[in-house]
Amino acid sequence: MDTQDYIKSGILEAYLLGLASEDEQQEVQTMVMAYPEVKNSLSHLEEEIEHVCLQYAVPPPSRTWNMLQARLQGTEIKKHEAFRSTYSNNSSSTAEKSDYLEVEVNDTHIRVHKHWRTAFIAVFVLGKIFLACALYYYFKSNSLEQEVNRVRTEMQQTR
Amino acid sequence: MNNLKRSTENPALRSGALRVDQLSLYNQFGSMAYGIILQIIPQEHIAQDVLVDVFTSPQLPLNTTVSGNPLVHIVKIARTKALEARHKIAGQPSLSTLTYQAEELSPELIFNLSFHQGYSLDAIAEQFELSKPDVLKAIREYVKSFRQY
Repeated sequence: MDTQDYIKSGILEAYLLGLASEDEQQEVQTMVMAYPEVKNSLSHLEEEIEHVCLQYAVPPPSRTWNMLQARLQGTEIKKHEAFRSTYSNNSSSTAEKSDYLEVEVNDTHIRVHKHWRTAFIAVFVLGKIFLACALYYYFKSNSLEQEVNRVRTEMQQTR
Repeated sequence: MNNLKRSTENPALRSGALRVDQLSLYNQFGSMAYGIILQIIPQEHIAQDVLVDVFTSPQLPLNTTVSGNPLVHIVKIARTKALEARHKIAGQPSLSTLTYQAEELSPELIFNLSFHQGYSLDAIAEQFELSKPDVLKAIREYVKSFRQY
């Protein structure tokens, strides 16, 4: 087949839109490698497909941006099972229900920020220092009190 | 093992790099993908879920590094995922159960059946007693019709 006939056959459009079979996709890729004019036509068609897609474009609501970010960060809120079941059960009444459910946490662990570890160590060390100081001054005041009592007793005896 | 090598092998760091691409692709092509998905699934809440699936698809970043124009890959992924969701919701009726008059057979109808409803080009050709090249030409005609706008 002539390359111009091949270009005009519509196979390139089908390839770009994902309508071509696997054999046809292989064929197009081979033709693109072999013939520069087919490659150029494919590039030109990509721009046309973009133009077609622009005709269909609808700005998504802002909540999809939040959903996408949550999904990418792995913190997506668990969807309500009834909502998910619309995929499988052809239910039309779920739109009225809430999209989300509260997730019950059963484990005994909590997750905290990593800086809490440093803060905990600092508090622990300071606690030890304060304890040592407290013991030191306790025993020191104790010994001083004993010394005062001893001196007081000596003074009374000398009188 | 040096730090650079470790950073490239670290899946967390790799996923961080992909996330930037996915979000920027969403900013650039999100409305086009959403428009395509809505053409296939009119229910907005499901279409939005599919849209998120498209831009978190593991195929997306890999494909965008292969070709210069990521839109083509996004169109294919959006269509595939929207059709999957549509089939799960409603199933796909056999093409033979759909009745069309001869005068209704247009490039737009053929494009609609193949692109939006997911029927193979061979099935369309067989149903309407057309040759495969005729079906492909109808697809081409429909795409060409947008040049006028």
